[in-house]
Amino acid sequence: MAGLKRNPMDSALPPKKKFLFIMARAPYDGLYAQECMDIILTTAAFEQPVSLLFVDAGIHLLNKGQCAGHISAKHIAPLFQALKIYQINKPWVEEESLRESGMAPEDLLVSVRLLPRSKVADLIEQNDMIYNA
Amino acid sequence: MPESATLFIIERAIRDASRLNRLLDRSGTGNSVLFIQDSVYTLRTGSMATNLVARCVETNTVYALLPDLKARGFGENEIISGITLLDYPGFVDLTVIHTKINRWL
Repeated sequence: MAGLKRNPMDSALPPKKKFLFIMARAPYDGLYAQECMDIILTTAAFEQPVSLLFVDAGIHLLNKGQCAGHISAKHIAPLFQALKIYQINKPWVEEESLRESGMAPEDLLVSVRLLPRSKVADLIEQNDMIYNA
Repeated sequence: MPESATLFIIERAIRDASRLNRLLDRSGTGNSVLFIQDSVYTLRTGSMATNLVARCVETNTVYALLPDLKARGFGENEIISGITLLDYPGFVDLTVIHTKINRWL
């Protein structure tokens, strides 16, 4: 279109940062999980590369058997199924945390990548921004 | 300290040694671990965490915020050895020299 100027901001976009969100809190512990998912999806909507790591009680966020209606809480599961739409990589799950929870990868809502505890520091090292949620 | 080292901050009270063990295992090696606020209770010599912290000192640089220790009644000679004690400006310096900071929950 004649006269339509290219947004001068386009060439000046700041370099992307790699975000890692470490989820350690159980679902239904107040609104932490929902609010954290808001932050995660917003980060991804701004086209920043996002990775998720689930540890400790955070593993239960991914339990596919959960049914929040029984305690009149908000359903959180659909948020995790939306990760793909936001082009968020397959989540990481700490192997030891999963084992300690008594669950197996088949019990989870989405397909995940397992990461041994000893490699968590390496994953942190590969990202620019770390957010514990 | 390697240029890419991460500063790991532990601030909540350590109620069981297994939690501290998990956090230290996730902090890798060649990094810095800083104890502030209620987490400093665990640094007293003879506490349940003595062996864990002593092992961490061998592979990481371990710091504690001195005002937080003093406020809680800990003398400098009552702390597990090998820990570098910091004042507030020292804390600020630490955040500046590390490219990445991770505050464990």
